[in-house]
Formats: sequence, C-alpha cells, structure tokens
Amino acid sequence: MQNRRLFLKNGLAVIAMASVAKASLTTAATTQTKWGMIIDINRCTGCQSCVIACKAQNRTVQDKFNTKVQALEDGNYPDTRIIFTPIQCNHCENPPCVPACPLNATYKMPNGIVVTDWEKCKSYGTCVKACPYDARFLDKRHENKVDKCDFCLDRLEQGLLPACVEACSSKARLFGDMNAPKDEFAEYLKRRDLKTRKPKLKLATSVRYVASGKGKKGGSL
Amino acid sequence: MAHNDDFNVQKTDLPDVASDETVTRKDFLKKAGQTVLAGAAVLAGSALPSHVGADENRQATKTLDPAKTELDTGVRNVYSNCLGCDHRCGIRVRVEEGRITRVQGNPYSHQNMAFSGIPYSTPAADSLKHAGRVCLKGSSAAHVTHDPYRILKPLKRKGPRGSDQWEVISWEQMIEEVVEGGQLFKHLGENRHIEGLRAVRNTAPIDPAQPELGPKSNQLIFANGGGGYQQPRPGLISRWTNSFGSRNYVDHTDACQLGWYMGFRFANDFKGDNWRSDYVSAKFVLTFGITVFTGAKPGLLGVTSIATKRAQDGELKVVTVDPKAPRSQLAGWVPIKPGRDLAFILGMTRWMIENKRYDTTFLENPNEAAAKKDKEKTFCGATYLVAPTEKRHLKGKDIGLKGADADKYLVIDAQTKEMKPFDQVERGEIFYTGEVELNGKKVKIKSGLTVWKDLVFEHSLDEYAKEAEVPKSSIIEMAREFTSYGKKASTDSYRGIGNQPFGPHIGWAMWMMNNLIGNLGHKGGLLKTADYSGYSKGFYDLGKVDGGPKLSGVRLDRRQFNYEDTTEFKQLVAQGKKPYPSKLPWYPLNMRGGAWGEMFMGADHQYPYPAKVAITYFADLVFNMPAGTRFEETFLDTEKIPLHIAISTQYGMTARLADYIVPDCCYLDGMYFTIGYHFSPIRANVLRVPAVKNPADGTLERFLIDTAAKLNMPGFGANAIPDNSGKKHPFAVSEDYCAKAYANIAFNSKTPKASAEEIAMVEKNYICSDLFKKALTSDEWAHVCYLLARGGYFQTYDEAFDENGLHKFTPAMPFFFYCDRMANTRNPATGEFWPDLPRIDVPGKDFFGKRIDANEGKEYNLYLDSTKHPMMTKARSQNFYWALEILPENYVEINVRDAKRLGIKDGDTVKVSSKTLKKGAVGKAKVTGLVAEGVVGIYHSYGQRGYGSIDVKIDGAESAIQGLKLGKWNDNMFGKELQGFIKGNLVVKDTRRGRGIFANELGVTYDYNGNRIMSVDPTSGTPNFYYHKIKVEKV
Repeated sequence: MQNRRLFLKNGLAVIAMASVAKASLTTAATTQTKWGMIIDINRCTGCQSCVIACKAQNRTVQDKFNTKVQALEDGNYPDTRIIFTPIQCNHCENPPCVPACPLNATYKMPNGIVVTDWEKCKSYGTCVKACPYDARFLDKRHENKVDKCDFCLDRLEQGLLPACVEACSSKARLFGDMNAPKDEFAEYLKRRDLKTRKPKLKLATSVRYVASGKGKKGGSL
Repeated sequence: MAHNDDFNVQKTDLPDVASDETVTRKDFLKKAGQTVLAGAAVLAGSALPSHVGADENRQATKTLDPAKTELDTGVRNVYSNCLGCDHRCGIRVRVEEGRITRVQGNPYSHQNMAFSGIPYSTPAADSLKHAGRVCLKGSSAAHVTHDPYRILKPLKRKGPRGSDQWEVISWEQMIEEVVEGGQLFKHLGENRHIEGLRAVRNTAPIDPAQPELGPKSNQLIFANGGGGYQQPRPGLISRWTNSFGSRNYVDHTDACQLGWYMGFRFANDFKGDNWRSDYVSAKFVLTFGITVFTGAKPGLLGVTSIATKRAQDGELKVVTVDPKAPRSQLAGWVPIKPGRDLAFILGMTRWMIENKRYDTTFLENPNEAAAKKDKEKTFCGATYLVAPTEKRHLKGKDIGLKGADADKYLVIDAQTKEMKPFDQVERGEIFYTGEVELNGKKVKIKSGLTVWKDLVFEHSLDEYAKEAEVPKSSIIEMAREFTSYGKKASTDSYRGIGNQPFGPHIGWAMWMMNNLIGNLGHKGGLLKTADYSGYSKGFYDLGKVDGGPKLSGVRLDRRQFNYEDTTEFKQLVAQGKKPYPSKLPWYPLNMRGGAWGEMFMGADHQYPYPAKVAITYFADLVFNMPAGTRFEETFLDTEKIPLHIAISTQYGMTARLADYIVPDCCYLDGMYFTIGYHFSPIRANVLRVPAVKNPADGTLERFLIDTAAKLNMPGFGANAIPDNSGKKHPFAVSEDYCAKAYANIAFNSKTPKASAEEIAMVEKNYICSDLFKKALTSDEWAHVCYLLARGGYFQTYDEAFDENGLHKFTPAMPFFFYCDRMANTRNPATGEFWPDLPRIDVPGKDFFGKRIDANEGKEYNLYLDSTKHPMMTKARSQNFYWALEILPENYVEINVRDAKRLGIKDGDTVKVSSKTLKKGAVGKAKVTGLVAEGVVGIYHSYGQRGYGSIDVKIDGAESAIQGLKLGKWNDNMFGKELQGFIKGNLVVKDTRRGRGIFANELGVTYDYNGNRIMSVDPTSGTPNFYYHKIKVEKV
C-alpha cells in the first residue's frame, strides 16, 4: 500500500500506463470458460423483471441497481415506439476500472468477470468514476465499498444462471460460455452485428448487444 | 427519495443520456486521466500481469452479502403459485431464516417456460437446476408477506367510521360482536342497535309485499375482491354465504373483465367466454384494447415470453389497436381513441365481406356433425335464419314444425334451397334474404351472415375511417393481414375493449371477425382456456353441504333479474304510472360472476332493499373502481352500511371505512389455490402452498369457520366433509379442506405417488405438511406430495391438441350473428330494447342514449386512459418497494400534439380535472408520442390514500402492525426510512407509498333518475373504466 502511494507521486505513471494499453490489445488464446451475455434489445419489453430479480438475489443497496433498463422513445407520432435497453457492467476486456483502483481491489478473472476484493476495497470510489458505463456504485451499508454486477458469480459456480437471465420474461438476455457456446446463445454469438455499448469507446466487452432493428438509433447503446 | 432518472423515457429529440454523447470527450479524458494514474499504481504495486484483463492468481470474492442460491444449504425451496397479479404463474419460493428471499419461476410450469417446461416426471431434486421466468410482481412477494404495515390483529374502530382510529381486540371478542351485534359503538356515542350476523340470518321475507326480494338473510352482502376463480377461497366464501342464506356473494369480475366476458356471451347465447389467441402457433394477432407486452392477462410470462421470440424470428406479427403504444418495438401500433375500435372493426368486417375474405366452408356448416367432416372444431350461426323485425332467430315452430324440431334454428339447405332445422342440413346458405308468414303477416328473414353484412354495409369505409379517426388504409391493411394467414390469425383482447359503455357490443363485433375466418379451436387461432383437474370431487366431496337454507330472492346488484318482473314495476303499471326509468338499473343480462360495484350502489340507495352487514374481503373498490370514491359516501353512512367487516391484510381505502378489520394470511403464508392459469390453452393445476408461517392472528377461513360454528351453519366444523365412503371429516382449519382438495386433484390427474425422497423433501421444506398429513391418509399424502414437489399438475402444449390440430378444450359452441336474448331485453331507463346489433353509434353512451362526451361537455376534451403499469397490480402494489425505487410516482402522459396545443412541456406540473372532480388532481406531465392524440394516460396503483400512505392511530399498534421484523434483510427490502414508524399508538405513514396521481377519482358519475351513479356499461353493469373525459391545464 505504502509503496503504491509512493509510486503515484513519482512521474512514472504515464509510461506504465502505456505498457498496459499495449498488453491489453492482445487477448491470450484460452480454452477456459469465458462468460458472456448477449442482450437482444428487440426482445426487451421493459418489464423490469431482471432488475428486481438481481436486486433480490444480490440484496443490492436501496436505490442502486446492478442492472437497469433504459427507455427510449423513438420516432415521431404516430410512427412512435418505445425501445428498452437493459444496461449493466459490461465486463470489459480491458476494464478501465481495474487500473483505476490504487489498491488493486478490482480485478478481472480469467473467466472474464470483473470483481472486487472486499478485503482490499477502501471505498475510494476511483473505480466508480473510471467506469465509462456508470455501472459501479458505493454501498452505504458496507462502509461505502463498491458494488456492481458480477454475473451472479456464486450462481455460476453452482451451474446456475445469473438471476437477470433466468427471470427475463422475454428472453432478451442470452448467456453462456463464449468459448463453448450452446443453444440459442451459440446462434447469437455467431452474429456479425453484435455491438458493444458506447461503441465510440472501442472497448471490447463480455456483454454484447443486438441493436434495435426498428429504432432509428438502434436503442440506448 | 432518489429518483432514478435512468428509468425514465428519454426522447430522441432531447439530449440522450443513454447515447455515447453522455460521456463527452472532455468527461472521458478526465476519467481516462484517473485511469492513467490509478493504472500506474496497479502496475507498481503488484507483479505485472501480462494482461490487465484477467488475474489468474486471485480467487473470486462474491460481493457483499447476497441471498443464498436455491442450491445452498440452509434454504427451503417451495413450489407455489403467484398472486402478484391474477395470472396464476407457477413460482419457486426461496426461504432463508424464515424470510422469503427470492421468487423464481417454476420450471415445470409451462407458462413460466415459454411453453416448454421440464418434463413433468423430472425428479423434484433435479428441477432445482432449472428456473422458470418470473416478473417483477412475482419477485415482490416478500414485500407482500413481510410488509411492515401489514395488519396482524383484529381491529375495532375507535372513532367515527373513516376517522383512522382503532383499537386491537381479541379474536374471540370480534367474533362475538359481529355475530351477536348490539350497541357495539355506544362508547363512541353512537346510539344505534346494530344487527349482527345472527339477527340478519333470518328466513322471514324482507318485505312480504315484495316476495321476489327473498329472505332477510339476503341483507348480508359479501364482496370477494380477490379473483373470482382464486379457488378455493371464492368457493369457501360462497359455501358460507349459501349456508348463511344470502344470495349476495359477489366477486370482482365487474372490476376485472366482465364487459369482455359479456361480449362472448352476446355472441354465443350466454353460454361461455374466455377465448384467447394462441400465441404459440399464430401467425398474426391483432390486439384490441390490450397491450399484451404490458403484462395484460395472461401476463408477461404467459404471452410475452413466446410472442417476443416468435415476432422477432418473423413467425408472428402482432399489431395493437389501442390508445397506448405496445411496450414492444416488435409490435405495430394503430393509435385509437376509446370506443372508436368498433368503427375500426366494422370497417374491417365490411372489407372482409366485400372482398370475400372469409372461410365459406366453415360458415356453411350449420351443426357439429357437418363441422366435424371438415375437420372443424365448431360451427356458427351464419346460416341460421333471423327475422330482424321480430328481434329473433326463426325457429321450427314458425313454419309449423312440431316436437323436438319446434325449437330448432332454421337454415336454407344450400343444395335443395329448402328451409330445414339446422341439424338436418349438411351445408346451409350463408347469404339469404326471403320472407315467411308469421302470425298472418309477411316478415322479412335473413341468414345470420346477411344480417351482419347489412349491418356493416350501413356505412362506407370512409365513414368508418372518419368515425374511428384512423386512416382508411390502416383499416384495409389490418383486414388484409387478418385474412392472409388462414386460421392462424385472431384478435386478442381483454378488459380494455369490454369495460366501457357498450363494450360488450364492441367485443361481440370483434369475435365475429374471428368467426368469419373460422379460427375457433384451431392451433394458431382462437382457443378457449383449458380446464384443470377438478378439486371438489375425487376422494372427498368438497361441494356437498346438507341442511342449508333455501336461497332465493333478487340480488342487491340487480343482476339476472328483469325489472319488469318486480312487484314495484307491476304496481307502477297497475297504478297507471310510468314505470321507467327504474330507481336504479337492473341487469338481467349479466350472466357472470358478479358486480360488486352495483351491489354497493344498491346498498347506497337501499334498493331494492337495504343491506345490514357488509363483509369485504381482499376488496378495495374505493380505489380500484372508476369513480370509486363515490363509495366513500356509501360506507361513511351507517344507515346504508350498518356494519362493515373488512377482511384484509392491509389498511386500504375500503378497509379504512370498516367497523372491524379481520387480519388474514397473505398468498405465501396460508392462502391456497387449486386450479389453472387464468388463461392458457394448456391444462394445469398450479397449486399454492405457504412458504412461510402466517404472522397474523387469523385468516379468512378462521373467520368463516368460527362464525359458522356460533351460528350453527352447516358445511363447517365437525362432520363437514364427506369422503367417498360416506364417512364425515372435520373442517376446523383451512388445511382440512385444502389438503383434501389437493388429494382430489391428484385423484383426477391420476398422478403417481411421490418417491420416498420426494416425500421427505416435501416434509422438510413445506410447512403445511403436518396439517396436510392429519387431513389425509398416508396413501393420499404420497399422491399429494407428487403434486407439491412439482407445484401442481401440468400438461404440455402438444397434449392440448388432437391429431388434426384441433384444441381439445375449445367446445363446439356456435357464435351467432344475432343475439335474441339481448335484443329482447329492455333498457331499465327507457323501456326500449337494447340496440340489437353493434352499430357504429353505440359506444360511449349512457342509459339515456347520450354520449358521455356530450354529458361532460366540451370543456372536458380529452379521454382518460388509466391502465396498469407492468410493475403494479391495482390497489395492492404500493408496498413493492423495489418497484417504487424504479418508478416512485406515476405521471400524466399527454400526446405531443395535444401538449403543443395546450402549451405543456415535458415535466410541467399539470392539473387534471373532470366534471366529477372539478378541483382536479395534480401530477407531472410526460409529453409523449406513445399515447394516442386526444388521450391522456395515467397509470393506476399510484396516489392511493391508504395502504401505508396515511397516518393511523391504533391502540396496541406495536402488536397490531407487523413492523420491521426482518433484521438484516430490512436494509434492501424496506430501508432505514421505516425505523421507528410505530410511535406509541400512531402508525406513521411512509411517504414513499401513495405518491402520484389517483386517476380513478376523476371517473365519470352521472344522474340516473335522481340518483348519482357511477358510469357503467348499461347492458351489464360493468364499470366504465375506459371512457372518461377530462381536461388538462398547466399549473
């Protein structure tokens, strides 16, 4: 800890960062499980089922959510429609939140899930600000430590699906191992039109989207 | 209170927070800057990872303090049935430390699995590896059961009715007082003798001069506000009212979908209802007055799950004709004003007939035998001859036929051109106009389809388009689509089309479009809801009750009785007085579950007789009925309702107006359920059992049993339930009855016995096991365990169809193009007959033929459309705290064009007022293109004045109200806001509950013969939910 703080004061940061960026461009080939989610915006009806299943399973702090559903009104009346876009932590390949933590509390697991070490987290909130998706928040019940989606890691470890995926009334969320995809998830994974949220950021993520076919903007991507 | 703006609808023309513009370049650089610095720290402080993306050396640390999973030790998993709404989905409830922590869908339940549940024979232990879908309402079950505001003790009012002052009394005192009556509120200065249940249970006539009113025991009125088919409870209540001797048991059907049911009944001579679209196989579904993606019955799970996938895959096209846009981009939308759908339907029908887009083979079949040869499930009245001037179908006797043929419909044989009874013809003429001689005069006759053709040809397509305020091209396009998929097209609808003035007429017109393409009973067409395994017979006879009083007399809601048959009418005629209008309307055509609104309207006017005791269960008509606040006047008048007992877990707007409140179980702590999904083409019994213990000191069943014991009423207590051998068993607790109901279901479903492992699993996880075992033989228990371990009995979609793709549960029940009975029923206001056909000018009118638009005047120039939000269920959702985090209050949705005209901008504070509520209500405007021009949308469930949103004084509040009992679970369930909300005898309101605007208060009321009544469909007494006029002003 002391050392790290010292380092911050030194002028080496920029050089170090550059090397990180370079390293992260190459993704090591691996056969191990790599969890991924595909959200088909076309199917979502904004029922909020996933939001609350998540809230119940993860006992998320009041007024904060690991996942939300954004609504976008598209078109001009009477050619109007509503487009819902579920949003959450995208489990980036090179997550800006990871290096943002001076304590090394946030890290990415080999299976692609970005998690937080609660023993190490000291509630600095630097990762919250670093996340370009606003997917992180502080939990006032737990000394303001940080929380966010972890794909329901404890459920995955038992062979169960994330709460949001199993609850989804319209199966807008597809989930699986990207290295050994099965069923509908496999079909979806083959699609060439999968998008990431905020594409201008050019972040590779484990959460991908099928954009709205009818909406002028494709949804709230 | 945090507002979650992310959940609010964003506009494309507004800065779009969701788009990548949100993070501006500047912002991003700032964030990236932090990343640079922080990133350096990571690198410096630890061994350099080759790839920041993954850290191989660290084990996962699960965040925070999640709920345990279904596979963890220390949890109980209980299969049960949801009552978040009344769609009756199967659920799996997870319980940890006595708390409900999570609700999942039952994977055996096809409704929760997009019609592909796991095989029924799957061992229960394996089923835990699967989960079905569940909606937000189902996920909120813990909030219902553990709600800190829940009432746990019997309460007696301690101030004037409606003054929100109460005291806790013992169960025994409450039973004693309501049974024996007396000067029950003398200590409050009320000098009146209240007749208790014993005094009211009297077989003497109410009025010997008006024998049709029946016995005095009819003055006990019992309103079941829960689903009319949430069996066994409705059955248990009517078992009790039957034993008591009152015909005044009503359920909430009128507030639910009565008008929709009545549309079927006009079509099929009052024989049946509840046909819906088969979303599993349909190619085109045109929905009227329903946006199925909003959670309309059969729910998000029942329809949305399959419809969204199929629509996206291009297998199904859905178009919604409704004032509100569907909550799915996959569905098309034809915006329309209330009541105008009839013109749209008549226009479509005209185009269909003009262009011969109908199924001639189906229409020509006059009977079931002929239909069967064509592999049709049913037939129709297209060929049946009608004498329109006589307002009826022609019958055999009209042409001199005798015996069995005398009462038969007549058709023209297509081959021989002879007129014959319908069952003696293979093919009939569908278009026929001719003459017969009836009683010496020539009378014009037409085939049913000709009657309909002449009806729809009364106006041109341009006229229909003008009346519907929809482009003609839309009408033609929909008619073309509707007739482009053979029998795999249908219309779908629900209360939106029926629950408005003359909604049943609109519904009838709509069903006949389906009839024209002959889709009834076909896979992909229109299917009647499937049945379920019966629960009242099998090992035990749960229906039979001997020794009760004879039921007789007219009902206080005046249904199923002609005004013309009353003594009152006859006397007026005898005295030479004008008998019309009646004092209050009569509803002889209402052939469905009930009209609680009209029952209390009857009590309000003490007509046709006064009520003496009102019991309301699960009932909040004040909040849920349009203009329901009208009933506050009724309940506040102790002359009109001398004794009001509310059986309720919550202090709602109707329970608030009670004399006694009886505590009850919630649906996951003691309320059983025996039958199937609310609508589904597939057969199921989706059983409900308690997941946790009832914390309340009482239940509905205990109230029924204990009052029955005091009054010596049959059907309850010792020797109440006979088994097949004639041996009699007690009915002392709810489980005595419900366990036997489940045993009967096992008997009728022929389910096997559960394995020893499954029995052990049930006994370990299901808290009803001990009481069930006491009520059953060990053999029966083993059968019941097979059901309980799976949450019920489930057949598959495929099992619902025969080899020809015909639906087993859709009956051969003809739909007719003329409704004799309706056509010959008189309007009680004018003495004229009801409009015999669904003509263009019928909708939106009152009893006197005046359109509500004219009644309310030009000032109130917008229509009000108050619908359910997918997260809420009527009056019972303001404790869904998670939903309230998402949408803390409702808003006033106003069309962009109207908003521009009125100078209203998004987010403006606006006043919404009506002729009934001139002072209006204030809310926030949401300017949108998702509601039709001329229509204002305000979601129901908000703005409640009760249900934890008002302060209440209760002596003994600490024991009477549940309070925060969840320990560590409170933090994310209810929040710190509620700490200390019970201060002595004061139960302090939660300001998070009841926010927003209360739309029903704006509903139309009008004058009927000097009496102020709520607006209804005049033919059936269905409350008018969807035809109200308001104005909106910027504040």
